[in-house]
Amino acid sequence: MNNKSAIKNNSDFKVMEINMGPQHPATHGVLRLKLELDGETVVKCTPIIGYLHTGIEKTMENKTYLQALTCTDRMDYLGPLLNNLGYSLSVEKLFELEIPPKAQWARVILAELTRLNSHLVWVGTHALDIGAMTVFFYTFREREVLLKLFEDCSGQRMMTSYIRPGGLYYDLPPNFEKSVRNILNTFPSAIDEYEDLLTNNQIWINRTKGVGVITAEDAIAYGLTGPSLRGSGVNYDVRKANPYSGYENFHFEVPLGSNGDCYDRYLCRIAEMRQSLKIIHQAIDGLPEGPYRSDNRKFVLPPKQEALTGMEPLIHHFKLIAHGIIPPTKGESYVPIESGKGELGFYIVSDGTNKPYRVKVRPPCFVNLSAIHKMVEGRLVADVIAVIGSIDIVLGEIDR
Amino acid sequence: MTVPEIIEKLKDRFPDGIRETLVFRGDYWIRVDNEVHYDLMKSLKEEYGFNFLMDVVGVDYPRRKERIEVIYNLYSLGEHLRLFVKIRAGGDIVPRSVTDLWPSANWMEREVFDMLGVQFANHPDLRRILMRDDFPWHPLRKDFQLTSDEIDFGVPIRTKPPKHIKDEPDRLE
Repeated sequence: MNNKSAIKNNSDFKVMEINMGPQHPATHGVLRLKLELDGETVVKCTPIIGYLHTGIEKTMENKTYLQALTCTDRMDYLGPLLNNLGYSLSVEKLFELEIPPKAQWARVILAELTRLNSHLVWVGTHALDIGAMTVFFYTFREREVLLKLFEDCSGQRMMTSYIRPGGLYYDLPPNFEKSVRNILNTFPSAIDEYEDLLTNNQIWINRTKGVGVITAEDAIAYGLTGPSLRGSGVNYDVRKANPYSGYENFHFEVPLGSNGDCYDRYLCRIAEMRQSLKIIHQAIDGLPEGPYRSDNRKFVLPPKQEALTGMEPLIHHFKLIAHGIIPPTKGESYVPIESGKGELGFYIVSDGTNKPYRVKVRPPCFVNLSAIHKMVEGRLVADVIAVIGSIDIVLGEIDR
Repeated sequence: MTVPEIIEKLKDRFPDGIRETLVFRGDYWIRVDNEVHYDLMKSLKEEYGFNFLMDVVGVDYPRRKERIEVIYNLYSLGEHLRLFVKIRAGGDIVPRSVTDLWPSANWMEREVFDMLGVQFANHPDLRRILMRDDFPWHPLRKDFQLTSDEIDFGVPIRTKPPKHIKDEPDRLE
């Protein structure tokens, strides 16, 4: 933008165009917002995205079904296990794979832990954007415990690729139950701490209450999902509406807001963290024994011991590594899951070969961001920061 | 009302409009004619309660004349139903945008345009969204190569479809 066009003279008022981002600490990545301002009031807000585009969908088309799994970690890097789960469920639907109960329950535990991880980063950075720095240090203290657990499971803190088509990558570590119970004991008081710092904090309330309001009708029309939708009072949670991976076995509530402002979205997510703990509690109490992945040798690698001692498992191992898994038929499958941000789904088109013909991600952040102008136009510039924080975007997923 | 019932009613209403109905692993697809596509989507939204447009997917089949398949992922919040509506586009065929029915279609159709080069008529703001504005190609088309040279690892890069799967001419090998 050149200086001449920076200020447009209008007969009624002067509109100033400014760029917020792409390099801005409060845009959670490289988001660029073109704001047209009348004084401090936002007249028009145009998001410009694509700075992090790496062609993940194109890459996935050129990898085998198992290789493509690693790409999913790198989209929403705050919820890698949720992405793994979404992709695995869609592949399993295509392949008609049955998953043993232990893997299903472990998946639920890991998915909810990942949701906690995602919400912890959200509450920390959201508060940091608005000026409450303390919360950030507290949430990252707790997040470290979760990342340590993911590392114990998969060897990786963030890019786990632990949930795979067919079950899990490896059996749960021996200290898994102890670590999860430790999290269940410490987290409720930690969440209380964040609430002490924020929920009744007058500055926090002034900055978020009545800010970034989106009505239920608009939220549905713009396809918002997740806490951004439930903050407006619409009861849609994929875990309840279309249960997957055994969520129908767990008792939990779906927290709803009523005003659709930043404060209600904040309350929804905090309440959701407590519900996640409730789900993990039920799942770890009832975690069944048994195999951690399917024993269908056509699609799932045989155990190493068998591959090293038997002829047939060795052939399966070799075929699965060299060619990858081959779907039984042509077809298209889509399984929605509730990620930390909203409905996440992988639309997979198979042409019967070892590579997906097309993978399309339904990215919740992308859709949620497309409604940002509804929330900020007519408000002050400072509110834009609060709104971006409250819809919880991850640019890695938006741009893919 | 279940999805098959809705499809039956739509067949009565648009007798020539629905070209194909597909059920696969419990999900429903209908492929509709471009002429009735917008009216059918409108009736799905207003009469059958499909108030969510979850996603718009574009798939490229380069050997077809109408090479791009656009799939609308519709969801009904009241009844918790999901229906996929397919249309064929590309070439001279320009489908009508559904942005005025579901504002969420705005960015989704922009993405399909950006990645696959489908034009949508009546779209309020059809610009590239992920690629830069002067990018000359549509990268998710199949003729857009991933790398300049394929590396030969001695293993077939893409296996042939198994024998029981009929190799249709519109699929890439």
